[in-house]
Amino acid sequence: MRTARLLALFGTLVLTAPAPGEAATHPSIPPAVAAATDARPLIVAAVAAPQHVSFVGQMSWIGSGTRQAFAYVAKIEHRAPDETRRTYLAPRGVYGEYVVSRGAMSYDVEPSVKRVVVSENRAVVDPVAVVDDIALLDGNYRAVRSATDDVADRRTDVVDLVSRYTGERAMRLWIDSETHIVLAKEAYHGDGSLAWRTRFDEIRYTDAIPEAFFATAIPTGYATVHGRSYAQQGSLTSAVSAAGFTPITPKYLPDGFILSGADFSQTPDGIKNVHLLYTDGIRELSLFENASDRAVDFGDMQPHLTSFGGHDAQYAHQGPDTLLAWRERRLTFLLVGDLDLTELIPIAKSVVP
Amino acid sequence: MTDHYTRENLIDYQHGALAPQADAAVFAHLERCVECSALHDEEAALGERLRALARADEREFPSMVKARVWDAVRRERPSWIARLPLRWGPALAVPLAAAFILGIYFGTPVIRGTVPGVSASFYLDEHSAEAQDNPLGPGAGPTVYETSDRTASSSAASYIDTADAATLDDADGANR
Repeated sequence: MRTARLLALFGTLVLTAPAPGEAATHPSIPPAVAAATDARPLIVAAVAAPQHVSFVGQMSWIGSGTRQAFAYVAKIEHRAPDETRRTYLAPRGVYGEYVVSRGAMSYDVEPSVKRVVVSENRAVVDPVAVVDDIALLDGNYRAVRSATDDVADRRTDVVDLVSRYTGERAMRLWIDSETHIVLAKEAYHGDGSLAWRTRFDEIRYTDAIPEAFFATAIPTGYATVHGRSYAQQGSLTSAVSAAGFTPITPKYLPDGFILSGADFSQTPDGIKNVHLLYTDGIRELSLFENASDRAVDFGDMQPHLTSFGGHDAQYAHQGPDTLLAWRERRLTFLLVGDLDLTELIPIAKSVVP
Repeated sequence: MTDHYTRENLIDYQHGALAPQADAAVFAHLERCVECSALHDEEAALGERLRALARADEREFPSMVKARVWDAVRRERPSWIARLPLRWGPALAVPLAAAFILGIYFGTPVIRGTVPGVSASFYLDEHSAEAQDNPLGPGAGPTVYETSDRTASSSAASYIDTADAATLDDADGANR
């Protein structure tokens, strides 16, 4: 519902823009600052496309870390408007696991442990490109059509999302010129290096996808586990209540970031954590807090020592994410997100200035 | 007055994206051009409305990780210590509880240095699960957090078992 509302608003914005040639003359703007090709209509079309276009294909994902890259490959069947099946082909450890999304319901079938996790609201209609939170995106990023390219033998419009604060390109989308399905996405770190990418290796548009692909009946012998309910809202109040202590929120966030939700989580051995989630529309940042005496165990992530504001801290890189952990005021804090350490430390400093 | 700025120009102006000279020119123009001023106000109002909506809406979280954690919690059998009070009643439970509290009180300084830490991979996976809800994120990946029901992946790697992932060492790493 929120998608429809935002689409309507954003569509209004796009549709009320003057048509080509409508404005007779324009005051001169220096070329260097003139608006580039506005790609917001393409973004709107990409958001709506999966509701009208059915397809089958295969996609791959690569996440780039400091020294390693991680990848998976999945087969996709999508039937408009809201049925999607994603079957993982690689790596071997998840081969055969699949997720069927039908509307707001999602069924994660795990043959290796013979169970199905049924959740509400995990369903992502389009596996690659539901550009949902357009409002936040529009506030923080400029959408610019920069080129054309071919992906999976399809002609695409290349759209860059450029930060309004830094001028840096944060994401690039390859949008099918005909169907407007997003065929590839790349996200970039602040220094311009690739953080992760998704890409269709092949895609075929068809309405002839058997119903059986989206069957949600629980296979015989499988256990059913109920996941999150739609009624469970992620609010700071409920998270604080569940955690049993008052979390401290950072006084500083990078430009464009807002608190998008809060949650309560508990480790398998009972440590209660408040989870604050921040986003700027593209990048995600989590702050975890708990009142235990337990330190963070980085395991084989090869953590490094650092310090700020009189605190000793540890940080590690894992895939495109950076983790930063420290303790103060008898609380354990951990920041994690696809931001650089230099971006995380000012946030950490501001938690307890 | 027949010259007007485009909507894109005015959006740039509102975001402070124009060079000082152009910014000043737009500012002066808006003072005397009713049409551009109206378009500017419309764009500003729309932007405010969009931002208000973005702030007002709370993101819904996927909870596959949480489901698995709770699943593991539910499946866990109470320890024999936990079952003892039920079996022997309050007469045994009270002194045991007192002994337990005293043990915790005196033992904490020792224990503090030896208790295992909270796995960073737990936090990484919680973050990844929530981030999957971002429509501009990488999308839902395969199972990321391993409870006792599945073979544990080394670090959960946030995304995939590193042993099975396509691992691409950089040049420096490859030479080591």
